[in-house]
Parts: sequence; C-alpha cells; structure tokens
Amino acid sequence: MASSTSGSSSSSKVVKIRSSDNENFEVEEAAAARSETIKKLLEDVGDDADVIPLPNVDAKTLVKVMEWCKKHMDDVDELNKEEMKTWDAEFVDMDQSCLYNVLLAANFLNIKELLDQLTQKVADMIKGKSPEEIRATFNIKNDFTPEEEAEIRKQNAWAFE
Amino acid sequence: MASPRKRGKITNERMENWIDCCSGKRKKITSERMENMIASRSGKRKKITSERMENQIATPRKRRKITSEGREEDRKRGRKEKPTTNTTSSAAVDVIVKDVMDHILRKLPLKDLVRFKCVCKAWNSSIPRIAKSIHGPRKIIVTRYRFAPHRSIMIVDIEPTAAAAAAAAAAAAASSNSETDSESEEIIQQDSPAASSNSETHTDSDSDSESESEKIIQQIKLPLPVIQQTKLPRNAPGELVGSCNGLLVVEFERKRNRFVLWNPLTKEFKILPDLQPSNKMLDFSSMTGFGHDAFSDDYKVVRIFAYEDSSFEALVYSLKTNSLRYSKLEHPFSYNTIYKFLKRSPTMGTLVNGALYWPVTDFNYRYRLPGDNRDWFQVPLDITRYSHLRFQILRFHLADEKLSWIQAPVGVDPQFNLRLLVFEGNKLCAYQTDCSMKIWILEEDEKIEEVKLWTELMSIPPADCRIVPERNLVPLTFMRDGKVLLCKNEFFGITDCCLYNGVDTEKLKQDLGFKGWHYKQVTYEESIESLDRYKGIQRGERENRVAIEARSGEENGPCQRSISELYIQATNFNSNIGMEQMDQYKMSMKLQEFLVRSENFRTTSAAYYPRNGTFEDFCLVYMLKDEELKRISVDRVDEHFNFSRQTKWRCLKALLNWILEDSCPDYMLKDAASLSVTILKKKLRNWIFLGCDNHPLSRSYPEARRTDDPLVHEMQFPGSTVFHLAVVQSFLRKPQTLLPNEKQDEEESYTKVVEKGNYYIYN
Repeated sequence: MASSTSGSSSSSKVVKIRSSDNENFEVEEAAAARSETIKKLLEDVGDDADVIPLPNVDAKTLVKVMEWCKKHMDDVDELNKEEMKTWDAEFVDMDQSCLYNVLLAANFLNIKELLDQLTQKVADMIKGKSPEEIRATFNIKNDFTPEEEAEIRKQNAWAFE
Repeated sequence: MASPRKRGKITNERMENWIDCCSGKRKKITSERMENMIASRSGKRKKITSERMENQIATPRKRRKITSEGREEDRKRGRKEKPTTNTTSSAAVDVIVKDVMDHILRKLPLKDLVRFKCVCKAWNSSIPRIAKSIHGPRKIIVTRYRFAPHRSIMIVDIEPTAAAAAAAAAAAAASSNSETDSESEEIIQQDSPAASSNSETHTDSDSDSESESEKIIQQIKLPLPVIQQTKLPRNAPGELVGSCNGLLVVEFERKRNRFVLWNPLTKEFKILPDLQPSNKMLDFSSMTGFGHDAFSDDYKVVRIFAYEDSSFEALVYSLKTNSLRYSKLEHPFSYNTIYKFLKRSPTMGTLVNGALYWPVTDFNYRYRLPGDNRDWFQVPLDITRYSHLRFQILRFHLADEKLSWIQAPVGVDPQFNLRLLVFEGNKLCAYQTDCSMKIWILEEDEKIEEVKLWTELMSIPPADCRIVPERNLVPLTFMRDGKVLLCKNEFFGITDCCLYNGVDTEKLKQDLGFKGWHYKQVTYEESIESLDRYKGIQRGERENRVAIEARSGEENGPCQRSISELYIQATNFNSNIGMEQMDQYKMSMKLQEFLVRSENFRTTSAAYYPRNGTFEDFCLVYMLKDEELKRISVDRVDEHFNFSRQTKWRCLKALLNWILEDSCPDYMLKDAASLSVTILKKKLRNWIFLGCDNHPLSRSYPEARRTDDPLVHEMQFPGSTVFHLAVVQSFLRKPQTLLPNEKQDEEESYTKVVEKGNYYIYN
C-alpha cells in the first residue's frame, strides 16, 4: 500500500509520512495539516520536509485517519453538512479494535474534531452498560474489595436504577 | 499489527532515528523540539515532563507495566504520565490512554458516569471531578399558568443528546414512515454522528409529534417520600420557585409555607423548615428565589414578604447552616403596591451571578381572573391611567444578603409586563412581549450611569411577519450560540418555536409539545450536586470523616496557584459517633469566628482524634500568633504525632489553649476542614491547615501509608479506629520565620493537598 495514497492534485503540496510498520504515504498537505501534530512539525521544518515518521501509528490505522483528513480537508459549506454528517457516521462505524487504534492515533496526531467524533462514538457504545460490561470492554481490573464496591453502589444507588 | 515487543522496538528505534535526523540534518529540530512537539500536541495537559517523553519511547516491558493499576498510581501522585498503547494483536487496546478515556467519560450522561464509579479505583477517583466539569444538555423547565395546577414538573430538553435523538429516530423508523426525529428541530446540535446517521430518513410532517414530544419533554414527579413526609395529598400541586446547579426548589402550596429542595436526577431531597412570615397577623404576598452563594459555598432560598401594611421583609434559608434569617427591607414604593402586585403575579427570582432579581411594578394592570381567556387587547385600556407606571427590579445579593433596586430599561413600555431571563449565563436580560417584543441586557458595570444601565439587545416591531406573524411572542431561553428561542405562547400551548439571531429566524420543524398556558420558564442542567454535603457543617452531625477536597484549575498542581484560589470544601460522612452535637457545633463556630477576627495569626490547624473508640474526641488547634507560642499540651501532641522529630512541622506545635480554657468540653471541633474553608474564604495566604479524620484516606491508598511524613501518619490507638491527618498547605512566598531555629526547613516550598479519594504530593 506504500505510496498508494498519493491522491494529491498537481497543484497542492504533498507530505510524506511513514507509519510504524514502515509504509510510506503521500498525503496532501492540507489534509495532513488537519493533524495539529503534523502541522506544527511542518511549520517547524519548513519546505524541505523529509518523510515524517509516525512511530505509533500503523499503516492500517493511518489509512483510516488520512481518509478522514482528506474528507475534512476543506471547510464544508452548509449544503454539504448533511452529507458530511452521514459520511462521518459511516466512518466511525468500524470494529472495536480498529476504532480504538484510530482513536489513539487521533489523540497522538491531535486531530480534535476526529477525536471528538470517535470519543462520542465510544461513549455512545458504552452508554447504559453496567460496570461489569465496562470492565470487560476496556479490560479493566476490578481493584475494589466487594465491600468497597457495595459501598459505592449504595452511595450512588440512583445511578443503578 | 505488530506485537507489543516488536512494536515497541520499532518505536524506539524510530524515535531515535527521528531525533537523530532532526538534530543532524536539520539543526532546527532537536530532541527537545520533538518533546515539545509531543507536549504541545497534548495541548490542554499542563504538566509536561520529560517522563512523558520517556514514556513515549519506553521499552515494551516498561509499557506493559502501565496497566490500569499503574495508571491509578500515577493519578494518585498527580502525575500525568501517559501510558502508551499496549496494543495486542487480539484487538482491543487494553489500556486506553487516560486522557482519551477522560475524553470519552466526559461525553457520557451523568447517570452513566456515576454508575461507572465502581468500575475501578482510578475511575472512582477521577469521575467526581469529571462530573463536576461537564455540562449536561441544556434544558428548560416550563411551568404552567398558576391557575392551572400542575402536578409534575416538565423539563423540556432543548438540546436533545445524540442518544435521545437517535432513540427518537429509531422510534420514528419503527413506526414506519412516520418520520420526524433527530432532525426534529434545528435546535438539536447536530454534531453527533449518531444523530446524523439517521437524519436523512426523515421528512417533515407533524403526525408523529406526540411520541416525539415525549422524548423532549420529561415529566418528573416529586419523590413519593416527599409526599409521605409532608402528609400532603398525593398529587398535591407543587410549584417551581427556583433552579440552580441541578437543584430545584418546589413550593408545595402557598399557604403552608412548605418548600422542598430537590435534585431530580439523584432523587435526593430535603424538606425545608417552614418559610413563614415573621408577622403572622398581617396578610402578605411573597416572591421566592433560589441560588448558590459562591462566596460561602452555600445554597440559599430567599423569600421576600410584602405585607399588606406595606412593610417588607426578607427571609433567607441557608442550606449550609440549615437556618433561617429574617431581615427588614426598605422599598421605594409608597404604598403596599408590591403586596398587591405579587398577589396577582408572583414571580420566580432570576439568578444571575450570585444575585436574585425580581421585576416589580407599583401598579397591577394585568389582573386576570381564572377563566378569563380574553386576549390581552380585548381588555379596554386607558393609557393615561397607566402612564405613571413604574417598574423596578429588585436585586438581592446572596452573599451579603443586601437588597438593592435597579431602574427598569428606559424604553420600557408601561403597558406591558416586564419579565426577566438570563443571557449567556451571566447577564440579566429583561424583556417585554405582546404586540412587540423588546429585549434588554443589563450591563454589570456599577459605574455606568443609570440611564445607560441597559442596552437593547433586540427589538421586534409589532406584527413583524418575518418572525412570527402574531402577538404573544415569548423568548423561552437563549441558546449557547446566542440565538434566542422564541415561541408563540397561547392558551393552548407553546407553538411556532423558532430561533432568532436578531436578523433571521429558523423555524423549528416541530414544537416543543408543551400544552397549556405557560407561566414561567427557567433553565435547568442536570447535576449530581448533593444536599448531603453540608450535613456535618450544619450541626457537627455524625461526621467521622473530614476530607479536604481541593479544586484548583482542574488538574494543575495547586502549588502553582495561590491557596486563596483553592476551593476547599469539607465533605462529611456518617458515623456512629454520637457526641453532643450542639456543643460541637457551637464550638466550631466560635473557633471560626475567632479565626476570622484574628488578624495576625499565621498558622492554624485543627485536629481531633478518637480515643478508645469512644466519644472522648479530643480537639487540638494549633495556632501561631506571631512569635508567641502557646505550648499547652504540646507534649501530648508530640506523644501522638511525633512532630518533634519533624522539624518541618514544629511550627504547628502551638496549642491554642483558649479552647480548653473556655469551659468547653475538650472534644470539640471535629470539623477541621470547615475551619480551613473559613480561613481560605478569607483569602489568607501562607498558612498551614491541618485537617484530620478517623477514616483515613491512607487506609485506601497504600502509598500514603508508605510515606514517613507525619502528616500522613497512620496511628493505631489501642481500641480505637485508625487516625489520619491530612494537610493543605501552601507557601507562596518564602514564609517568615516562625520559630527562630526552624528557619531553614521552613523555607522549603511544600504543598500538599488531599483530594477526596486522591492523594497528591507536589514539591
């Protein structure tokens, strides 16, 4: 998939980025700049930017993230808002592991809007679940003693109704 | 996807490469820059340490250690290390980075959030803070015209959450092609993907509006125990008289002076003592308001009585002290006009910036009999008779409980009622409606001349068809984007809702579904505010744990802030200790008074410990007044606290003997935290505050136990419970020498905050 995403039009500048598993991508600068991290870096480095390595984003995730960035490259006008929403909704509809990877990547790359969408998606997923289900979902160890847990449940009984 | 080990290795190399290449070919980028890079990326996070960088390039082994337990430890130390991804090939990420998790938690409804407190300890300690910082969806409560008794409170969700919208969409879809839904109103903030995904399936009809409106309007009833305890008939009408921080005050029935304070979300409630007029011989009318006094962190219900003999009186109920206070007031009207006015149109106080506002007028021109459904303009009106009408806006400051009067806007039309709203959460807004609508904003600057106090925000000329082609236009509330939500308010309900930004209107596709003549509206936002937290302060009642909670700018270390900015709050917990509550309360009040009066004390602390598990709690108050130390009972202190070894804390060893001398029982003052609160409220700096409890935080937090700091000392008294001491201290500048021989030690800047459930150490 290396260099496959060179969807840049001739006019716009292209940024090279490299995923953790050593795949190189070419992305339009405007798209890559959706990431504050990359944007800052580009500002610092200037025009002669070489490949930007992203040491904790793998290729599969990076493809996803860049797909989003390309879509959100330009400001959307009112007319396309609806369309964009639909697209976003479909975009975040991915399997869990993928979702978490993209989420972490969005966090690392500091793409606020994407992060918002993804965290909202996860929040919607876990809404209404029981603490046990949450522990299972996020693989969190229950470090309360049964008494402690019972106490917390008692204090917040209204939330368990 | 790479295995963690492999991945980590790559990461490591890559990062080194990165740094090499940066510092090599391009001189501009150094490793620090990369650090900055990563740091700045995390924008909001204030504590950026090199640890984070290390963490970023940590070896896989180190990474794996950062499990949820690790996170918890970090959190307790207040460090903000960032666990990196522990990606496994099996799929889901084991550990979602803490900030990402916080991000997600912030998007949850409060109820889910609170339920997740028992997921793990780390969540239990971070969730209360998150819950305080998030804002639920904006809602308004609309109550009906007073002559239509209402038995439930209607909460109208004007910004339905994504879930509600999605649910609505699903419901709409289920009922086949009936439509509407998530799009239902332009009011819905459509940033949620869930809502949008369904949006295209809907059309515009109104057929399904009934089920739709149920989603938007939530009817809540007073908890059954309230009805039982007040011995009121079921379905007794209640009237909303105030809303603040998710708490509501409901008046049961005007004549009985009964009010209940209630959090509809947590279902917690408190029936207030009867708010009766002090003069029972005279007839009166009243207006009520409710708000939070940030100065003393207290909730107050204010009821202002206007007697028929034109005297005027305020009654303030304080939740914190659970007490009532009466005060006589002056008013600018010559006769009992306010009495008459309120008789006919009682108003709810509008809360803005810690003050309550009520509009009053000296003439009631708008008396409407029950059942008089005539349009306002059908009532004959003699303008000359009304030309002298005056409006006044009464302002009651919750902090100092002072009353003042504000002139109404100059352009106000004497023929119409003046009503109040809150603009953008922090400004008072007055409006008049009927055939035209005008909205003014009160400028807060005290220096402004009276004429310029008000600025006109918007004005809709009579029968401006662009807006709503009819009269009875009412602003319901301001949206977060500054637009005003307008509606037509008629006898049969609220209709024709639209958003107006001063130029254009956006008509809502659907009405809010509210039926019947509405009477007043107030904003409401869900919260988990507890009525319980003042319990101990009120009467020293049954608390055996005093935790000190420090809130400074979120997670930033308090060491970077002045102690006066710390908001410290005592929380109290039940216990089986049954000491003389009143004595204790009086004592603590006395001490607080003393501390407040005293200008030149420098160090204050208060402590108590239980002896033999009995009631003989002993209170120690250390106070250093200039260089003078009162060394009474110091030995006793040493015996238990071992302070003598710890020179750092020597300065605390002045026992304030006046407490003991003052013929008070020696077990007084349990509430060290409330003492600290008092002191902090006075914005004193450079002091040491000690609080303690016998339900130690150290019991739940192993690292606290490990420290050898005497202030986190865990003690076992024979036959007693564990004793714990917590400290809030801040030295902003180099402290003055407290004891001649302790100079050096005292110069250390040392801040320690015990937060409810969290233990932070900052150096």
